[in-house]
Amino acid sequence: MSSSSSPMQSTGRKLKLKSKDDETFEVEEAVAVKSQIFKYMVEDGVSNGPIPLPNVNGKTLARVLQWCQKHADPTITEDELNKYDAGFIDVDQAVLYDLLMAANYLNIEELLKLACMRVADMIKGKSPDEIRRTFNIKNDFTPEEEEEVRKENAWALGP
Amino acid sequence: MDRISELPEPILQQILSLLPMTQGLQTSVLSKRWRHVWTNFPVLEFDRTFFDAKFSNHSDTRESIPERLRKRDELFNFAEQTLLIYRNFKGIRRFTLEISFHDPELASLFDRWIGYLLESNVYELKLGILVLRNREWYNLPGAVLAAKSVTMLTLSNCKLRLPYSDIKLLSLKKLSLVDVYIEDEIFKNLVARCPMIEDMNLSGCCGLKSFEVFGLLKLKSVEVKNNRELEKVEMQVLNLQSFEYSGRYKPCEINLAPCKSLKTLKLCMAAITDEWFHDHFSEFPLLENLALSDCRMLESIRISSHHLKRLLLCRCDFLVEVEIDAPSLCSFKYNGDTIPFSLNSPALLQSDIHFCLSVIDTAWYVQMIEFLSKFNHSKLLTLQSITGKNMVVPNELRESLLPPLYNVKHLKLKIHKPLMSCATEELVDSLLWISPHPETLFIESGFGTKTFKFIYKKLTERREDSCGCGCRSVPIICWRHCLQEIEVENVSEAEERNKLTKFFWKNAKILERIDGLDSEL
Repeated sequence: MSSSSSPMQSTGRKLKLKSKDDETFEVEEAVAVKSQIFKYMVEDGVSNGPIPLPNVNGKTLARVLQWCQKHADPTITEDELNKYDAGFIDVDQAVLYDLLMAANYLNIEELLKLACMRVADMIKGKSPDEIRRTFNIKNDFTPEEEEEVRKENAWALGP
Repeated sequence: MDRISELPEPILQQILSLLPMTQGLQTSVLSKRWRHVWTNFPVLEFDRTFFDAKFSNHSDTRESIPERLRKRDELFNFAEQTLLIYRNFKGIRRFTLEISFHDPELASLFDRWIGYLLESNVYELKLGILVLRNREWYNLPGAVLAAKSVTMLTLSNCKLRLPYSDIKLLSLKKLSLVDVYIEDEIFKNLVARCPMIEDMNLSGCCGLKSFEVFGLLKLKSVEVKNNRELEKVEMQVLNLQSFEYSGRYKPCEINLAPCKSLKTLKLCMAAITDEWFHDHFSEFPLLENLALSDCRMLESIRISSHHLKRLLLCRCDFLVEVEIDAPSLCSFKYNGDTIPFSLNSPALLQSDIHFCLSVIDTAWYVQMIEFLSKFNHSKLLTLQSITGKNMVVPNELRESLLPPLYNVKHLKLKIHKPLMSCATEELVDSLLWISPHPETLFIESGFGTKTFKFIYKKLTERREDSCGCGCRSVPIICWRHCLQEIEVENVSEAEERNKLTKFFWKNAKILERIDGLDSEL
């Protein structure tokens, strides 16, 4: 499967990408350079073969490229972009982590920030127990260790 | 499975940086990994959420004053202890202190805290220290303006006052001064000693009379808004890309001519004349975004630009004519009168028009329709109206005038006061005269957006039967003749639905189906 190509005006140059599970994608340069990694590659001149991305699977790469395309569109308004982002990041935890790792690996600052804000929103307002439940975090403190930490933070953790 | 804890430390720290500090601190009790991430995380924010969480006045009014003072002292102790711990932490990424206080003795406490964090090479510093006594200010310690490591500095509510020994902000990239007191001399020194600066914002400040910037090769973006005593703005910055100005308090002389790289220019309440505008505009060949609002000295302007993409002209109440020649323009927003208007913008994608209050008589409608016809090529057109009544074109005029927007594909009417608006089918009737063959029609208000999607049958020949809508003089076939299907969303009131259903079935001659308007008819 190859991804949709951009309908916008462009230089016409495309980059070929290959995900870790061997899916290939063709993407306009103007869209790909949302990722700092591709930006440098484009500036330095890139070979003809597809760029291998051993750390990103096809499904996630498809999503990321879709986001990049939307954000590279010059006619879209800020309102529409915000609405799009809100819908885009409303995904389950597994997808969210894949997006975080991909945005980090591909160095796409805005997407990374969007995903981090979503996680932060999932943490906000919850007690430590609730946070542990939401994310399946195992409490590996001994009761004494935990007491010590609580004492140190006593001020912020008060009633 | 717990995947979140396995995220790399920098990502977890970025997530923590988006949480209020108290909550961030709480995560240190989740597990050993989280404790580790937090202790390596040099961001401190003592802002309103921190102080309010523990020191809220509103909850218990029965709390005695000594009790409140004790709480406050506990709070301050915690902050001070934390600062002392972090003092040895070379490279605190971010520090925020936002507080308001009465007691003048506290000033020296905050001086001390600032001293601690300056020792730890803070990168992003936000200080907002407001004295709740009339006309009194917190004097910012001079050392802040000599902090070598600071890349982002935001100062609010304090006073920057002579004498300052050595101003030197060698790493500063972003400077924001909001509601501060700063004198011309200090500002001049400040601006001369931050060579790396990229972004400057000066808003609501007192004391400063003259904003003059020379050199500064990296400066890209400047905002100067509503500074009380500002009389002069002089920018000689070759690489400046964006300049925004707002002058609520007094007229100010502005000179930007040397900034040839300017891409974005936004002027609000600026005392600029037609002559100033034309002289300056020709100096900015790369301009892409232009916004002029509340510039009441402008009367007649001509804009000619190859690069201009976005234009906003709002509430320049004394404009009597506008000429625009902008082949790359794709977005236009207007708020004003139905003045003579000339527009060459073949690439226009979206337009937003709000006619200001005026006497609504026949002459006004004629002018309004003439004005709208200039935007016929816009793909999406939004009309803003308080009640929508001024968009209901009188029937007599519909017979003698040409529908202005027959090429517009998507028409939206935004109503500001929906409770005072006229009936929906009256609006739809008039909008469908204004734009006789739209793909979608939206009526938006605070209550939601009513959407009408129109599907037409392709007619091979023009129907000759008259329908009294004057559509024969228009180069497209009006909806009455070819509308086949309608999809409606968000029309909820029963009477509204009935009336609209009746209206469509009566007027659309080959209509087969309406979706979304289930009524008893």
